[in-house]
Amino acid sequence: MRYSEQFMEHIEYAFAAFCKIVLRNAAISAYRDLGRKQKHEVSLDYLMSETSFEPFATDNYFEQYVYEKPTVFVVQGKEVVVTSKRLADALANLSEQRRTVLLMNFFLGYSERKIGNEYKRSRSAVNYWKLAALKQLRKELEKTKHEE
Amino acid sequence: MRNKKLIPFETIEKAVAGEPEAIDAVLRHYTARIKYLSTYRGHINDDIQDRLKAQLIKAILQFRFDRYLIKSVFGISLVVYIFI
Repeated sequence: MRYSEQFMEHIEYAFAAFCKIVLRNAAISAYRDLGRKQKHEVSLDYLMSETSFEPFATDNYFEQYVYEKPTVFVVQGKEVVVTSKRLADALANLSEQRRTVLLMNFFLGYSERKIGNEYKRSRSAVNYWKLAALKQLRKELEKTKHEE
Repeated sequence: MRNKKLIPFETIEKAVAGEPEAIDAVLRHYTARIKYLSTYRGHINDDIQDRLKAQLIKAILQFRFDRYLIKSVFGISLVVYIFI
C-alpha cells in the first residue's frame, strides 16, 4: 500500500503524540496506584512496638519431654526416640527381632535388603518379618484403643 | 523537510505490525522519557518503569493508521479525525 509523503509525515507526528500520551497516562495511573499502596503500608518497626500481643511465635520441639519421659529403643547402636506412650508400649510387647526390623525400616530408613544383609537373610524373609510385626503391632494397638 | 527527531514511518509501520526489532527501536527512542516519568520521590522506580514499557508495547499494537485522514486543501494539510 502506497502512502503519500504528507500522510507518512503526519503519521510520524501522530505516533509520537500517541506514544507520549500513552506514557503520560500510564505514569499518572502508576503514581496513583503506588500512592494508594503506600497509604496502607506500615513500617514493621512501628507494628512491633504497637502490637500488644506477640507478633511471632517460636516453636519448641521435644518440649514435652520435660513432662513425660520418652521411650528410647537402642537399635544398631542408634537411639530411636518414641514419644507416643501408647506406641512405645505396643512396641515393647513385640519380640526383639520384630521390633528391631520395624524400627530399622521405619525410623532409621533401612531398606529391606539392607536389613536382610545384617541378619544374613533374604529380602523376602525380612519382608515377611515386617508384615508379621505390623500385624502384631496392629493387634497390640487395638488392645489399648479403648483406653484412650 | 522531515523531522529527524521523530521515529521514521517505516519503523512505525513495522512496530504496529508487531515486529520485535521495530518495537524495541520505539522503546529505545522513548527510554529517556520513560526514565523521566518513572522517577518517584527522586528515584527511578523499577516497577513504574516496567509498567510504562508494558503499557507502551500494548498501545503500539493498538495504533491504527486509518483513524486519521489527510485532506489537502490549497496545499495546506488538514487533519480530520474520523471517529469509528
